[in-house]
Amino acid sequence: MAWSAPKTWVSPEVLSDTKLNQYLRDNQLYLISTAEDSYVLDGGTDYLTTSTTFADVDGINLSFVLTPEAMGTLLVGFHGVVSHNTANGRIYFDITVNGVVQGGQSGIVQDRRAAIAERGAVNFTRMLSVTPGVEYTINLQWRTSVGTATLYNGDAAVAADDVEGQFWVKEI
Amino acid sequence: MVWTAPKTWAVDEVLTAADMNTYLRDNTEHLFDRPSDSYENDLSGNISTTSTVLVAVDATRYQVSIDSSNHVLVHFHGTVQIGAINNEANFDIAVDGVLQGDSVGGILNARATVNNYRTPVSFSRLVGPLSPGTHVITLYWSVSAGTLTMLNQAAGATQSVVGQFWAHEV
Repeated sequence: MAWSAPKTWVSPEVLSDTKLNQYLRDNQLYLISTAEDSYVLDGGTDYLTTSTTFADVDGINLSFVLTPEAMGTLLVGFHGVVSHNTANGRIYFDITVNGVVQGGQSGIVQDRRAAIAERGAVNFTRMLSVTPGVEYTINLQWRTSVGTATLYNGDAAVAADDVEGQFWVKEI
Repeated sequence: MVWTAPKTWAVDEVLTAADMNTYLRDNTEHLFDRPSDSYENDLSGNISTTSTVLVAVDATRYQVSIDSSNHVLVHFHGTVQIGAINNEANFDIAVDGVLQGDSVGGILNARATVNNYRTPVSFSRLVGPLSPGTHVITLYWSVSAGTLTMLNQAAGATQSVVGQFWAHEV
C-alpha cells in the first residue's frame, strides 16, 4: 500500500470517500505493514568460514532486497551463536548495504572465543538511515582472525548447539 | 511532528479543518516519522575506563537525544575488552541522568574468562513513557577492577569496531 503525505485540510472542504480512503485507510495500512524480511537460521548445516576478509555468510538466505517506500529508517537485526576451533580465535560480523560495509576492519561486532569450541552469543540491531523509494540489498557478512569459525544453523538434531538464530530487517 | 492524544469525536460535532490537521494529518505524520537519534563509534581511538562505579562512557559521545512523550527503544551494540580474568564489566543507560538499572550492576554484566577478554555487548532496553520534551539518553559503564576498553580504533585496525548507540520512539 502506497504512502501519501498527509494532506492539510481546509475549511470548507468536502470530505470525500476518495480522500478518506487515501489519507486514512491507505496510510494506516501502510503504517501497519511496513517493509520487512527475515530468515531463521534453521538450514541444517552449520555455517563455517576460514576467510580473514569479510564475506557473505550466506548470499542467498542471509541477504534481503527491499525498497522502503517512505519511511527513512531501517532496523537490521541479527542474533546467533558462534564457536571457534582455535583458542582466542576472533569472529567479526558486519552488514553490507548495497555492497558497502558498515563497520571497520573489525566490523560492527567482534567476538573472541577464549577456548576451542566454546560457544558464545552474538547479537546486534543496527539502525540505518535510508532513502525512500530506493532498493536496498542487505547482506550479513563475517570473517575470522584465524582457523575456522562456526555459526550454528539449526542442525535439525535436538542438541544444545541446535540454535536457531535470526537475521531480519524492518522499516520503521 | 508533535503527537497529540487523539480526541473523542462527538455526535453532531462540526468537523473542523483544525481538528482534521491536528488529529489526522499531524498524528499520522508523527507515526510515520517517529523521533529517533543514533550515535556510531567515531573510530578516533579506543576508549577506556577504570571506574568501579557506573559513569558515562564519554562526556559527549554515546549520547542521544530524543523529543518524545512515549516509549523509547534504546539499543547498544559494540565490542569491549576486559583487562584481566574474572574482572567484570557492567553497563547501564541514564535517561536525563537517571540510571535505569541497579546502582552497581546496571542492566548488563560481562565477566572475563581470560585476560584481555574481548566480547560483544548488545542490549535493547524499552524505557518510558517519557514526560513531554527532549530527553538525553547516555551510555554508562564500570569495571570491577583493572581496565575496561571500548574498541574504537581507526579504520583498518584490528580493533576498529563500529558499534552503535541509538534510541527510537516506539
